Amino acid sequence: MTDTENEIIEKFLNHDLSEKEMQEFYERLRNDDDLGDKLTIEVVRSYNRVKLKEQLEEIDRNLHNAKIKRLNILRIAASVVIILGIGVFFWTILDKHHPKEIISKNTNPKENKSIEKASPAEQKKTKTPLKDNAANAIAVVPEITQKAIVTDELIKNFYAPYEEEQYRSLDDPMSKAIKYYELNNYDSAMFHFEKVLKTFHDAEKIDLALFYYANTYLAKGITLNDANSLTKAKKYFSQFIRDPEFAYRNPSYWYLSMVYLKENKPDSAVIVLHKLVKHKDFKYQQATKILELLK
Amino acid sequence: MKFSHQEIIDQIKFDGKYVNICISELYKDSLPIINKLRRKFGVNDEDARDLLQDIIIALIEDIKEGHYKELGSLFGYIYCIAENLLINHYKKKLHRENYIKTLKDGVYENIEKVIYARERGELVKFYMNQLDKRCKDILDNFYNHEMSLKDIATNNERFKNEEVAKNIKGRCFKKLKEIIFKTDFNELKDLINI
Repeated sequence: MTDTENEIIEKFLNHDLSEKEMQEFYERLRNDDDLGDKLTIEVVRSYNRVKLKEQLEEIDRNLHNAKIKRLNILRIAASVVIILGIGVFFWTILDKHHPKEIISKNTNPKENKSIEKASPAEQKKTKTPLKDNAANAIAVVPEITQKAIVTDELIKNFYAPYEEEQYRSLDDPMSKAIKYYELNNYDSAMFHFEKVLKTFHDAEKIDLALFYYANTYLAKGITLNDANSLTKAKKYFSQFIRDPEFAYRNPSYWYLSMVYLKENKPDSAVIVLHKLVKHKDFKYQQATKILELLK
Repeated sequence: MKFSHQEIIDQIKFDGKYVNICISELYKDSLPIINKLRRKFGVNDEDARDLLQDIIIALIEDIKEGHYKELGSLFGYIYCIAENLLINHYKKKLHRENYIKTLKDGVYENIEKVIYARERGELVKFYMNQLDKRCKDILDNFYNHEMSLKDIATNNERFKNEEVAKNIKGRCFKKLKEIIFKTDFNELKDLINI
């Protein structure tokens, strides 16, 4: 392989080609069968590296799980010792002072009955309602057979606009922009987020505004079936997930996967969702569910 | 079972019987480096783990290709590479500041021009995962483990003889090439964005 060929293949696989160079490379591939062979061999060789990475990640996971297991055993042992200690302590104290009273109170059959039989209304009270739309979605999805699952169904069941509690009651430009976003008034939302981006200096707020800005494009793309908005959302989210400092990096994986599902590109969505599951963060359980359904 | 550094190097170099155990041991023994990196450079745990994994992969490749020169301990080697790579980490950080500045200047379209160093892993996986297991295995064994077609045929009952293995390898190679060629330019651009 010549140095130039080697270099261009390296650049292609490392995504270092500009759009123009990429077009030229594809053109060259069409006319140069040898270059195609070399690229194919390089893809197979690089696959070895991918497998090694997966192997190391698995070793890491196993080590982590073993550590957690050891810690849990220690925790259980410590809890047993503490409970036994407390039990012995109280038994000794109570036994010394009021042995009969305590025993008769604990063995009162009427009181025990009232604890056992709670009214249905009371039982109902203890159940917490499901607030999260997405959590409801998980319960709905298993009813759909795996074969019938299409990306549109997944969007319907799993997509929900982003919600940030922090800005609910405040009356600042950011809250205004968020309010427009929640009211599905996308153009006004974008206008205000742009305003926030131009005036705010706090990195965290800029991250939040950028994240919402991308989400506005996503919401517009999904609601109005607007391909251009989806492309823009994709550009932003792709940028965010590559930025280790970005405050909303993990949620960006989730919303990027929604873009791919809306665009009916389940293969690309799977790649992004795997990353989210690996990070075990924002909606990763739902991501796992989608991955199962897309299998 | 505990292996010496020399044994680990030999197992990796000659694809020995205990290569996987050796890789696992090497990784496990290198984990304290993560804490060192976190303390010295303030890297978060996840990034430090990613970095360590990448370095071990590079080390394995160096050993296999005969580029690894033993100057000190294996861990010294790993730590040295980590320090050098972290300089790139800070370069990325600087890049981010520029990118926020670009956004704040109102040139939103420029966001696509901000390019970070990216791994080739996702792209390679995207291509290879479109092949069935048999194709993946035969290409992997032939090109990465340098097995001859005769050995591949002997080790796999599905290939009756060397000639059958040769035909299947040829077909799989062609299939992979077609996958690379047929991948839509725009789809590829999307993948690059991941």
